[in-house]
Amino acid sequence: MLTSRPMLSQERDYVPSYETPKGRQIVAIYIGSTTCGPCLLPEVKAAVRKMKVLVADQAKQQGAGFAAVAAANDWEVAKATSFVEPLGEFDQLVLGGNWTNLAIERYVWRDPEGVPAMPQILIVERTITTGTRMSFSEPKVLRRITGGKEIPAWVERGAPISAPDTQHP
Amino acid sequence: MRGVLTRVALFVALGGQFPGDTQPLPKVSGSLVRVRGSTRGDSAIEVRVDIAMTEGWHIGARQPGKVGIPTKLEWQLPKGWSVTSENWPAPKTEPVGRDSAFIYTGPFSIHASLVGPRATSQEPIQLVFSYGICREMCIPGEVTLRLAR
Repeated sequence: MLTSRPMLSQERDYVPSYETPKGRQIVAIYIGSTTCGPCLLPEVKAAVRKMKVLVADQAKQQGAGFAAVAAANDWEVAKATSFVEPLGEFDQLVLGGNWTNLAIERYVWRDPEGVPAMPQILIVERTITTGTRMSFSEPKVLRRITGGKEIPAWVERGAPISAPDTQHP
Repeated sequence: MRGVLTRVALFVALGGQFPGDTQPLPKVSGSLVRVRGSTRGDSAIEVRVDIAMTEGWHIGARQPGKVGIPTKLEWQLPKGWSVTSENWPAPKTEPVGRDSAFIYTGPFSIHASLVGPRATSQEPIQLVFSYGICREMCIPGEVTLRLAR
């Protein structure tokens, strides 16, 4: 029987779990737009798709949850939607607003080490506590990758989520 | 928006570098030069906006096509002054997938004509040049240029 779904693990597409995470969660945030030429390179699109699977696998190995978020900073939501569509499934989309996009505000402008560049992938960890009210630890950026050459190269290395000079337990 | 872009422009102008999986950042610089006339006497002046950027990087044209970040001039003029014309150089065309991007890849100049009252004005003539500079990544930025008296 023929199937259109790739069988090799590195060619799997990411599928969100749609479950409320408890405890540590790894979040991959992709920032791009239709106005960003490097974001439209086929190798970058392929790397973003592959990244979600690779990072989700590492999160699982570490006993953590995972979520993939896309922040498309086109002004027009329709254009932002068309930008994320070829990138496969995400858990959350933050579309529109150009550089005032809420996800970009949080992870670029409000972070003193934030980087205003596209394409960019941020790997963030946070701890989620459920209850009558959910609570969240302050997110910590584990990895920040920018550039149309750097992102495919990082994914080719397995998209390691630990900071270059640290090892995760 | 202005504030955050100023922060970016400063960062870019300083040629900052991001740690980790990144590359050195580009520089964009510019100047606003009087070509003819004086705000003290004439009712019309011609100015030139000179823009330079790090080699190998590019910025979008005013109308950069479907792919590209538009470059904008926002004039800040004394009361009574206005821009009567802006002449931008023809951008280069760069294929991006099935689309084309219209870009500037090196130093370029924009010529503009301004008119205003003959009376002397102490207010500056300046403009905000906003852009997205790209190579393997795109970075927003802006620079404020002031015409020397």
